[in-house]
Amino acid sequence: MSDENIPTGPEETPESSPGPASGAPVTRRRRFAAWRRERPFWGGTLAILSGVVLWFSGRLELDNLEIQLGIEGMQSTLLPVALVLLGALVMTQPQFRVFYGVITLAISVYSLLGVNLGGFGVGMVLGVVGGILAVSWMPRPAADEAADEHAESVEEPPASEPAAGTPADPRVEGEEVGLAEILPFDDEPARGPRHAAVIAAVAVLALGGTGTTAVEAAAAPTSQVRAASSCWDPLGWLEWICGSDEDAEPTPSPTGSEDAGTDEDGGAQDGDTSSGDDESGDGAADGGTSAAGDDGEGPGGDDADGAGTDGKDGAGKDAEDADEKDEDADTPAEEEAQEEVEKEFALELGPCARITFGGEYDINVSLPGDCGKREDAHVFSRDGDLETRDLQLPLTGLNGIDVVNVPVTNDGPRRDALRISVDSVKVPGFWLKTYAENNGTLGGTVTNAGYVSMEGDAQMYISSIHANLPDGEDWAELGEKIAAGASPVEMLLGLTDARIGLMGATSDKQVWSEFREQVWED
Amino acid sequence: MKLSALTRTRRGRAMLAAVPTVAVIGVLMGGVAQGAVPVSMAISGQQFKIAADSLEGTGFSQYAGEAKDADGKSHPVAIANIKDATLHNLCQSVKVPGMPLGLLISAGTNPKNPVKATDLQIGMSDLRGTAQFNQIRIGVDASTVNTKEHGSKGDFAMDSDAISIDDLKQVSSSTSAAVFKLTDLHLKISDGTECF
Repeated sequence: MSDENIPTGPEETPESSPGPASGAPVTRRRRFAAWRRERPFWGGTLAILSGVVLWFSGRLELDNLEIQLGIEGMQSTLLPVALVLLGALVMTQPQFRVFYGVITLAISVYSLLGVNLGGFGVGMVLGVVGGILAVSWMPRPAADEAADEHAESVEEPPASEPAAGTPADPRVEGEEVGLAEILPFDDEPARGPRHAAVIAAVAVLALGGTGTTAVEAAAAPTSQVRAASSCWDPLGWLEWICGSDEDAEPTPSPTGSEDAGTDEDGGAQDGDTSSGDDESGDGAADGGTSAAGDDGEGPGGDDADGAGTDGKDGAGKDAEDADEKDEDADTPAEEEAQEEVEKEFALELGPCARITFGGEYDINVSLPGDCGKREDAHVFSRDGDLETRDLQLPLTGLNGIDVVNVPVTNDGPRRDALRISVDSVKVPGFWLKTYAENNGTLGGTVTNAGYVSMEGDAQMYISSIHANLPDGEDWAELGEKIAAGASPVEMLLGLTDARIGLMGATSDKQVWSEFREQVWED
Repeated sequence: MKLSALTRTRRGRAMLAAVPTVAVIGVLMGGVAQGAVPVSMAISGQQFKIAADSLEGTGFSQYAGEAKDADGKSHPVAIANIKDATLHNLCQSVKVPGMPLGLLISAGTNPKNPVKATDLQIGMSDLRGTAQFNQIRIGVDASTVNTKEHGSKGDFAMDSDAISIDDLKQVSSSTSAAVFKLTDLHLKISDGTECF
């Protein structure tokens, strides 16, 4: 049908001759139509569009552009930009359309691998259609201009190059003829506006529907690989076209929605509990951090520290006195037990660890000094807040407890930590809040877990412990235990409702059961 | 039909350009769907959900980072790096806010042929599952973690030689992987249905 469409316009002229616009005053629309006719307008437009689609496929927020760095980021930035540029260039320099078009095709095909599956298919299809339109575009034969067949032959080598690759599949040919029928490959001027409408329709189709013709055609050459079906659809992109086929299979959507249903219920519960946790955690955390700040006045002020902690001791005792209503009466047995515990602590951990009684928790251990044994295996940062119902560990697995001095990146170059070494430990009712700073705002994560267990050379580095006596155990019992030879560590590990300033923990193996980690910020 | 006849018409040229292109795309798509051809992904800016029956990885680290939300406000996320990850029955979903429209990707449904990712980096705000770590260190400074990528000094971080998470469910706001082998890939436009 279009054999008479032999191009006759010289390649170089399109920009120079304004075409119909040079005549009588014409409307802006007509001038645009004339301008459009002189270049592979739709090819260029689709190429630009595909670049835009690819760009946003990696950046799903329209009003929040983010440039990604690194190799992957470079691809997802560079390829869309290149497509937009090629689209613009092919419109301004139609004489190089084959070069630009072939590059557009190559980049579009590569985008399948390089940029989020070719912008989830859409961007790739737009780019391919645009590239094909650009390559195949020819200037209109102007009735008043001499034919120039030579320009045609000049273009043969690049155009024929891709043809060497694959023999034409009859089906593809059929498809392409179909494609060609709807595209404006004939050039009767009178049909211009209709062409625009057709092209626009194709573009919309490609945008909205991942380009049915092109993808179907794409499928055809490899259809022998797969079971022949009228709708070869390896990626499931054409489900809404091949609907009848696919519906027979269990598609993910119904199961997905079921999942969503059940999980939403679960999620809601989770959310409730966790938000509760968060609140309590926040409140507690505030107390915890401020206390830690008081304690960690730094190595320089040992005297001041001593005074401070002495004072705190007193204060603690006062508070504990005041606490009498909560606790049993301030019996001599209690004071005795506390003194006993303190003594044992000093014996085992040296003067670095400080123990106080009373306040929010029955027992508080802090490490204000800078006097432990140096250990440089790990560099620690801000303490996390660890809360647990109790620490469970087999008594035989306890390898030691000591005070070490470790490097930190906050609160001075080094500080003391209580190091507990165990073969295995289980932390039920695990709750951990971690801290990090971002541009002045404090944030981090909160992790809940059914339990956390550590096995194999587990070490916990602790900056403070606040804990209660186990339910049903009073000071007198504790005193008896200590007198009977229980180490303060055993005593500590028997405590409940512990709130621990966790500097770090290492182990060969660690299990977080049914955990949920969420990001928080102030 | 002779080549010169083909190149003389728009239709012929379109065919010459289209046939090899669609052939290459067809082959590539087949390769991607079978996991033979890796792809690279980089998505950020909107929250999406990832679920998997299991994840096994080596070279894990996690620390604080930041992501920008729709208002351009930056807020913290936990950045997880996994050097080599294997995911079984991966589901990834994005929902267009306020519309019954979304994208649902599933892959690695065949237990013998899981999804593989290299240099995976995920910026997440919520993570659930049951995890097991080997040679784990919690609380180390984010600038000293044992992965190529690391966080800023002074932040709480953790790392481990190996990680496995069962019944993984996470909400992420960015993900990137240099090499993503998406076996049995199934990508579809959904009505806003999400993975969980």
